Amino acid sequence: MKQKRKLKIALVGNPNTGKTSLFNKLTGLHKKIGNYPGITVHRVSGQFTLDDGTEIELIDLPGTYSLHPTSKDEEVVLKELLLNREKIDGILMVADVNNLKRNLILLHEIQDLGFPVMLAINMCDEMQKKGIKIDVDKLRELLQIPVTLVSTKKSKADGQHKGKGKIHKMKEMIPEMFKMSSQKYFKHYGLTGTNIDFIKPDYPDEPVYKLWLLYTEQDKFNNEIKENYPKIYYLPFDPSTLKRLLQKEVIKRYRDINRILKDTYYLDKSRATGLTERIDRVLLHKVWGILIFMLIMFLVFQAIFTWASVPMDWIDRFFSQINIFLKSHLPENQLTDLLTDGIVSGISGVLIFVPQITLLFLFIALLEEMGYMSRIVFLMDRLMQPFGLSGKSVVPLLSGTACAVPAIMSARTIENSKERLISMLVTPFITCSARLPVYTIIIALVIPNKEIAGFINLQGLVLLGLYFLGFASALLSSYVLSKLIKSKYKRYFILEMPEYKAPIAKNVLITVWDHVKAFVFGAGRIIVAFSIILWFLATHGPAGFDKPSFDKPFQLSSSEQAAYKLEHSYLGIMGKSIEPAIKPLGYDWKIGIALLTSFAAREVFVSTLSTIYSVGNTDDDQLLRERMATERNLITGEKTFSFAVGISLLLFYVFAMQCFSTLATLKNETKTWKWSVIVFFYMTGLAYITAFLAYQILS
Amino acid sequence: MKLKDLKPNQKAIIVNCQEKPLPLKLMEMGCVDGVEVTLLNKAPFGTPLYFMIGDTRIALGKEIVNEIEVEPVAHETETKA
Repeated sequence: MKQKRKLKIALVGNPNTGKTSLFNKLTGLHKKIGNYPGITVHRVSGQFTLDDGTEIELIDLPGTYSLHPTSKDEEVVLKELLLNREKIDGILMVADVNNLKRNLILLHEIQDLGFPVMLAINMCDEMQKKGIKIDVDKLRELLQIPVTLVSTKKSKADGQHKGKGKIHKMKEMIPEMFKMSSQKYFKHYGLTGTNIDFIKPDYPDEPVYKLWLLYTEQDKFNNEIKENYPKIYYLPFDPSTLKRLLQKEVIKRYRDINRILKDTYYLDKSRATGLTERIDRVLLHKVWGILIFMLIMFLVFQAIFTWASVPMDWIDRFFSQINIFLKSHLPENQLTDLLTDGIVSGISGVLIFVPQITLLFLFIALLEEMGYMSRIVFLMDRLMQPFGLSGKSVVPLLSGTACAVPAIMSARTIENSKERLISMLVTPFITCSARLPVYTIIIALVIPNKEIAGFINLQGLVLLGLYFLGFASALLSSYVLSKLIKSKYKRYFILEMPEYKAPIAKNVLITVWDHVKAFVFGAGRIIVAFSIILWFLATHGPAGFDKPSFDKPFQLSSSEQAAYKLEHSYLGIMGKSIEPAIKPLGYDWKIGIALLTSFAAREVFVSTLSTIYSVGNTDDDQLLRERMATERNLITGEKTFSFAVGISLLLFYVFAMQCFSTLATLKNETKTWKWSVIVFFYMTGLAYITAFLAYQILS
Repeated sequence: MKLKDLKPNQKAIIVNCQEKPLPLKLMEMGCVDGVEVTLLNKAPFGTPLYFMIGDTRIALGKEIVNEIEVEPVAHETETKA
């Protein structure tokens, strides 16, 4: 029997070459998503097995055009290939048949690094239509590596079989790369000059191109070079001379590539349809393009706001039925309470997000697959760029009006890691639907319901103002963050506009599934843990907390009992103990308790007040509002919910980070608590200051 | 003339992008001297601009289109191609 061994293969390619589709085809749903240390770039890997039993771990590296990085994401590729060399056995390079010339630049660089490599030319299903012919055998002979044509698309006519056959053939070709000694180019260019030639004898086993990259890209890894390649570190470094040499390198590479393609690649130019250009004339039009974009965004908005609410109701009802069932069949004790009000409610609180995440990513994956996401960047860049955001940041910011949880996740589609991070950090400022119940009740309480200028409702105007404040603070914060978060990469706008394509259903579904899974098993665990802690604090307290003292001569109603219990629970005690801190904002301990419970979700503020004021039925806002309106401060005798307190509370909820699901999602996306902690203190601090100022000025 | 001054569907040849302080990525994506460029679209808010450069569709920001020098292609050659 053949000995089983495991090979580590890195999947490398330009953006928009169908690299991820190929990855999905090869590894299916078995993938691991991690993070590269210290940066918000995901590390995705998966497994598959060859016919002879060889196991292969496939690492999906970020898409890049070359080994000279222009962003943190592309830097990952350079670092993996230069510094983790011993961990990578070989490279699978994916290229787009339509842009083979440009794709071969990266291939040549990889060949010069001395890796065993094979070339998979993707989208071969389009060749005939576009008049492209490739002499694969000749290409293999010239490049001295295995070359094969693949298609990640299932075409209806010749069915699954053909596509699968090509992928299978490609898979089985992988071991061949270890038998061929791939072509090298760089050493013939004569660019290294005396510097590299001088130190080469010190590193006899390293390919000269690796030393060249370490030398030319040394600002990307100073420490590693200082420690492991001290001779390179101390070489003279003149950026302008180097840049000229690097430009020469590109020109020489293109010359080589042209020579290779001249005999292997034939393109019948008369077959070009220009279809993408014609679609773009409409979709990028000054008027129509913007209108269509707004229409698409409206659909997305509608989906996560309205359509998602139906399955969300089902989930909500399903879990309350389970709780009713469990409570009626299990003995009445602590453990049952933990199971129902703690665990089941916690899980329900996680799954309730699934419809929104599913719908949002269904849209995003479709738009991405079809090539429209790049057009969003093109249309919106000029608007978002002054704030340090990507054109794609429009998607998380708009989705944030429904809920920050799916919105933060949608920032994954932003290529640049700095813009992605900033988009995630400022999205929680956007007024989400959970803030609405809080806004409605407080506005109804402190803002008179009258018309100004005859037709504008004042309450509506205030609500609009709160939405505006949310957007403004998000944009302002991103401006500040973009100045604070340093990047060694200057921002240049260079964006390839991919061809429009029909979406592949399987890819869309896998994207949706990946995100739902990442949320449920990543952020979900933290959310369940949080809700159990919150449940415990709100339902437990020091001895006797649940027994009203004996000086009450008459029987308490059940809602009064609930109020008493909450007031004397640990959470109640916490609410009372923060009173000194929130007094300058105009709040009493009752509001304090509601602020604490609303960490579960902002709308819980309303139901907590209902409990505290023992109004009973929480579905009826009217009752609660009347009760709140009559509530008075025992010492001053003034209304608890005065105009000043109301405005202070509204401002507090505009800015405060009152949602642990958002913090958990942020942690799961950035793979560190650091940013969640920063966002929490930043937002809550801002909320505290504005609420403080508002109350002090108005009261 | 500069790349930013091209009119929609106007063809030109890139003449001096190597001397300018532009990112290497541009060259790697095929934007080198002598390559033909056509302006396809302008974004609604002015920039970026969207070109066909060689056989790549690519959108470029203000800081780039202000730098690159091009030589418009006369009409005769356009019809010949």
